[in-house]
Amino acid sequence: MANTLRLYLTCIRNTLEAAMCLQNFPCQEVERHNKPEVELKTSPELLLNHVLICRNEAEKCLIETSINSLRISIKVKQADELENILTKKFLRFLSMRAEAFQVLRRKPVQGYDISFLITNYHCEDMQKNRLIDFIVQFMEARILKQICMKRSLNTRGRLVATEFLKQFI
Amino acid sequence: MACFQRASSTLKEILLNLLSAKRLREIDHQFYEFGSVQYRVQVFSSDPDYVLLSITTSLQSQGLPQANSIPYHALQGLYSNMVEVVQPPKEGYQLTLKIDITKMPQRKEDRIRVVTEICSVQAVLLSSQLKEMLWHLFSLDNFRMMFKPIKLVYHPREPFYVVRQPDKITVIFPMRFQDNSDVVIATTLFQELRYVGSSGSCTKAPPCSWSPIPPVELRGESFEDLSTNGGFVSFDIFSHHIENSKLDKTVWNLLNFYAFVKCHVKCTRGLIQRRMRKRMEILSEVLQKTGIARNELADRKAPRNNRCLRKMKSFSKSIILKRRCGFFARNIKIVHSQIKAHGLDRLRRRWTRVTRSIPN
Amino acid sequence: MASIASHKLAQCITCHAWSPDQTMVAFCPNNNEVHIYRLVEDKWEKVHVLQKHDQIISGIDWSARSNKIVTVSHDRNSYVWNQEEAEWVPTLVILRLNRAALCVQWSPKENKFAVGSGAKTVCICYYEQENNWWVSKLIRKRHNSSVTSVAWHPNNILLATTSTDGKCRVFSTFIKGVDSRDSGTSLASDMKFGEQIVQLDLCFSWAFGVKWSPSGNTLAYVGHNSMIYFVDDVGPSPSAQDVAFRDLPLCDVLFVSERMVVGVGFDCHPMVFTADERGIWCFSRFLNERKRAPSSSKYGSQFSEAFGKLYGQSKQGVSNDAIDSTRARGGVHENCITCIVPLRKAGDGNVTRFSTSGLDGKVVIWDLESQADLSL
Repeated sequence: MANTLRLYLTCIRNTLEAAMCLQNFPCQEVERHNKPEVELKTSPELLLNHVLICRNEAEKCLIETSINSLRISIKVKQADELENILTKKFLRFLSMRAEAFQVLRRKPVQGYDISFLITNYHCEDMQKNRLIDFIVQFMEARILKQICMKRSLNTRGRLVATEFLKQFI
Repeated sequence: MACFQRASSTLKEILLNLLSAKRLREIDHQFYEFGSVQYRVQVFSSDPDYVLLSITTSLQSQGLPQANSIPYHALQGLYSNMVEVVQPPKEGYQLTLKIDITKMPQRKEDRIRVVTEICSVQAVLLSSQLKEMLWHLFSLDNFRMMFKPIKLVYHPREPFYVVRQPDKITVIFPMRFQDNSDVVIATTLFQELRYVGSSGSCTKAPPCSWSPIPPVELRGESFEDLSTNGGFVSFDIFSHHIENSKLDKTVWNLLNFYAFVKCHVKCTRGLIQRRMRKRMEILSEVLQKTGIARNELADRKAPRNNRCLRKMKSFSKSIILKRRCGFFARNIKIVHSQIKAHGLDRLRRRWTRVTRSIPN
Repeated sequence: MASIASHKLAQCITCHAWSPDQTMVAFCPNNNEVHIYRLVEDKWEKVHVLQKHDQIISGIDWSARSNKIVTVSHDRNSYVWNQEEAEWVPTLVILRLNRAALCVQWSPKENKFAVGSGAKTVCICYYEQENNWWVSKLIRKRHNSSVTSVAWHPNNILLATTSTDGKCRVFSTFIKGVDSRDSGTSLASDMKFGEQIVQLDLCFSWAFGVKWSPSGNTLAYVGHNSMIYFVDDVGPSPSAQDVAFRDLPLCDVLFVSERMVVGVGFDCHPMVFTADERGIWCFSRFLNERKRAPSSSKYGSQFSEAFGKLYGQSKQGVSNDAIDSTRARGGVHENCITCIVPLRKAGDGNVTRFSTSGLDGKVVIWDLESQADLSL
């Protein structure tokens, strides 16, 4: 499992490396506007083919690129109810604090759990490879955290249950 | 019903306050606890040596053989000489106790102990009913008879059922939660309860089971009672669980089961929240590092990249509120001290009131 | 190292241009101003700030002979700045654009300049003496997307453009009264204004950074698919070569001689392309040697630890992935290079010095004479 995770993340890293070539580009459709083309999708010639990286059916990553912006959407594995709830909670928690993560899209793209929107302005402010590090670490942390969190919740449940039943004795 | 402690903390505080004064003031205090227990504390100036404590629990249980089974014998035993039961109780209350404060012990620790004992009268009241019932059901020897489930309502939203089976009594809790995530957290607890109960360490405890659909024993109950989102938890009580001293524990644990589950859910949610906050801080630090190379420039200019770092220094809401209020209060104080004009007295008074109320 | 000076002048630089005597540099610090710096005793001093645009400036060109600065901006306007004593005086050019202007270049004779725009048009502007203003003539309906780059042929008539529709086009810009018939080559002289001479459809992605060779015989432009295209015999039957490279795409190119091109872009390292005796172009090398820093990966301290603990792996195993990402660091530029400008000595066809600027806010001057293996 560890190996497939690493391959998956490496693949995403390399794809992002190639895709994150963004430049300032004013809107062709609206005067004096400058908007992420990947969101507007008004000029098809300014969009590149999107890349879909799948680790398995439940875990995938969609990378959509345009001339001045890049959208990464991630679907996280949710094996059971608990994982589902944990994921939803965390992602909601994050998207409510999206301003702390400038690259976080407040609403994920349909069919995915979380989306990042990276524009040329982010590339001007931040170092590209660190930005990619961030995305990859985020995904890695997401997956690892889920395992840790689930484990700790189960342990906690067991302790509490034992305590309760001990009161009867 | 939410109570872990047998003694009601509010009542305890009131009584201790009363007793700390040299002479009893006249008082007529009426309050509810957890929406299900109602108290009335009275002191009359005509009779300043006695505190009258009336209590009632709003039990709406059906199918109970004797509804008003106040265990006078138990109460009499508990509070010996300084408390006597007033007969009949005050209008609208199940029980009235008359406490003779002249007989209170003088040492502070002793006094607190006695008061705590008096305050746990609610626990006695609440558990007496279930105790009686368990005794009653076990004393019936008719095995062939089909027993209808008895619905116990200690809290309007949290009824539970007691069913007599041939060789045991099953206590069934329908579990309802507001939030979907609460259901998931609680379900893990129920599964663990079942697992722990069947494993070695807690075999003497009542066996516990959980099912998402209503158990067969509840067939025939009203539909709204059987619709839950958290499934049904049942405990099988055997005769050895209600022997002698164990009876008290068993009853109290069963009464507290809802509160226990709720507390667990709440704490776990808190834990998840804390973990998420921590995780987010780590992640935002990673994002911070993306701009490190140009920090020397950013420091001189408007610190654009540090914006989120400042935001991320996490303060709990109360600290933020305190700081804001502190700032506000300070400002008000400054304003207050500077303004000496006539006609502003009224305004000023209002300000001072604000400043006073803020620290609370 | 081929770079002889590196100056961090701003947070981020969109484009820059040099004064005729190369003592001053004008650049846009990624906002609506143009800053002009002068080198005084090894230190750069800000001497002028040109403020007239109200959106980010996308193109600057400083004419070598007439000492005029032309700027274009996303606010759809263009200004020609004239130095009158100590002040720079702007003249508004009515471009008649309804979208952002993206790039600008003075023609070789400096009587015209060309502006590429997001309105899918190209403006050719010339000065009308009798009205005392700059007039703009538009080449319309030729481009299917924004015009990203323009380049003048040395004959002052032909103009090459690249666009985000992936095509490179060459137009005639003959304007009566401005250009004389005999000034152009035989090819250009009988063409009307705005007539398309050739359309090159070689690239599958966006095309950027077009340039002519010093003689005007070869045309080079880059595509976002990490390709560079060389076109000879621009005319009815052009011959084209494409060179693919394995690194990130380029943004702009510069002919340093007839047989050598320097390309800059997202890879942060200028690349040198050379043609052999047969005229076959190929990637030669990177201009500055790459320092492959030992891969002390920054690959998530906490996470990789947790990772290692969970799966019983060593940390080294995890950090192996990250080598590639650290490769590009350690160069002179730390972010995408967007602009490359020649530093010409008077009367010299070949360029030995040039400067680059990029999103990292640096202006770097390079000298090819110190590169023994790069004969011009």
